[in-house]
Amino acid sequence: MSNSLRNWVIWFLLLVLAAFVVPFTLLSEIFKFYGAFLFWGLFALASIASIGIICSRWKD
Amino acid sequence: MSQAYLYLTILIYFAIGTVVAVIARRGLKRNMADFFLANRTLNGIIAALTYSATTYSAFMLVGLAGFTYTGGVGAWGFELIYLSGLVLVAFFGPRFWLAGKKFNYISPAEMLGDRYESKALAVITAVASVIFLIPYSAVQLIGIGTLLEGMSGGSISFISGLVLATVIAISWAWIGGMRSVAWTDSLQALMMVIVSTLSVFFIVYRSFGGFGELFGTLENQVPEWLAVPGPGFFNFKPFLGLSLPWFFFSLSNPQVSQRLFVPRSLSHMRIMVMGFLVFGFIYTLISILWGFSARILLPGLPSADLATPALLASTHVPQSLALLIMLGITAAAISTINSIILTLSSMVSRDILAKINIRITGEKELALGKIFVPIFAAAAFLFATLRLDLIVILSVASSAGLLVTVPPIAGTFFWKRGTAGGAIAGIIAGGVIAFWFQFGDIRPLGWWPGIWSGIVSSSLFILVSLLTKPPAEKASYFVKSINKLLKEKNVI
Repeated sequence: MSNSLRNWVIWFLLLVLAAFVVPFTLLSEIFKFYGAFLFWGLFALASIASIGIICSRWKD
Repeated sequence: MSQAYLYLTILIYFAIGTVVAVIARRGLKRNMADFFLANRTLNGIIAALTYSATTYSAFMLVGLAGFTYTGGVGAWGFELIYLSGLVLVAFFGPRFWLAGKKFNYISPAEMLGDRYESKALAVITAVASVIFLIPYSAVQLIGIGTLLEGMSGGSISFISGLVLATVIAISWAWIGGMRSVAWTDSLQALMMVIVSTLSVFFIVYRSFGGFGELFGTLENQVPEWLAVPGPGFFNFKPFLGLSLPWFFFSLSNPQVSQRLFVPRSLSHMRIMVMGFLVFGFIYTLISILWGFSARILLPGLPSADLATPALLASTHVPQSLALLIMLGITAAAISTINSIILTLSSMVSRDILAKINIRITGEKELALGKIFVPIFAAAAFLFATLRLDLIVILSVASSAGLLVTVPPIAGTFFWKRGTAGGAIAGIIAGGVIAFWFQFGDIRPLGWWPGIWSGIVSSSLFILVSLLTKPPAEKASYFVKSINKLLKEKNVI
């Protein structure tokens, strides 16, 4: 496994772990739009941007 | 709603789709790669739209909206964790694509069988896909039948709805294989997202005055719907049990992973991935907002599955809009069913029949594959008419059941020590666990079937592989040649 691949795997593990943990702990008592709803929305946008960076390097 | 309006709408939809399917089949050659993979030449935008339409079924505006209705914002998190799982396509997509081109693979099961040098593995993977995906298709058909029956006030019978959906699904897959399916999927994907977006804007602005007001109402009236566990439906273990198998959906479901073979080039695959992500984010948001709106406008429904049908039947949605939404949901279901049917047909022909009888090649193999298009559609139809509990169980178990193919898929590219024995042991034991735990409603330690099928299949794949002899030469050649190509293409 290359270093780059390893770093991306670690980044995504952290990202997905946060998506499971944060809403059920830090945000579980925030009954507002800016609680779990906003967090998961930003999590998805961060994932999409990261995937975009990975794909942008591909050459034909 | 008038039966005539419903029939006319579906007829127009069928006619337009058929014209698209016929145009798309031009230049179709009589071989497996062309019929089942559009000759690996799909344009990135079409690939993105067919990937989206295949992935997103009637579940989104019915099931996910229902989850939101009952459980609140957890449904948004669950579906977005699935979407983030597309990172697996960023890692595995180019690997599938390069391997498919180099070794001329038609299906993911064929790739597994060849890489692990085991016909039995290809056969078992294909059989597992059939077992879990035909009931999944049947549930989609049931959805269309129920929706049409409900919207027509019973004047269109459940069976008539099933017949219509089955005929449409067979026709478009039969006319031109992947070419027709990809183009009709594209049409349907656009329909799904445009119709649902317009509808949600209409409902939110007319009933609440805007999105800020919708959230304001949620915060005032049902604040617990904006947090997890919130009302209790999304406690952590069910949330994990739902989300984890779905995170691997892009690899575990062959109708989706087969689409990794079809883009014209890696830059078209990039368009496919990014296009799908944008589509998925929008469609998920729309489905969640739909569920939230139903929660406020129609509180106290006896079942979450009724959220969408009840909202469509209510005065909050004008009839013309309800008709369009019905069409959007039908399109979502049909585009999933015909893709599944096409993929399973390719697998039966290439991975089961041609593996059992090596004389089945070329045109004979293609002809057999095509025959299975109506056969599988008929099987899904028959299952749907029976409305057995077993079908629903198999359908629900499909994400947990197909998850068992992920460890050998990962091993294909990353673990030369993996063996066919390990893969087969993991798939069979994991598949049985998924079905058994779902059927018996068994949750050891409170964890859902998908967690157990994942643990069992991964552990057995590793353990049995270490105890058996790997196909050392093939593994080394395969991994080395793919890694060389990956380096040339600058793929991590």
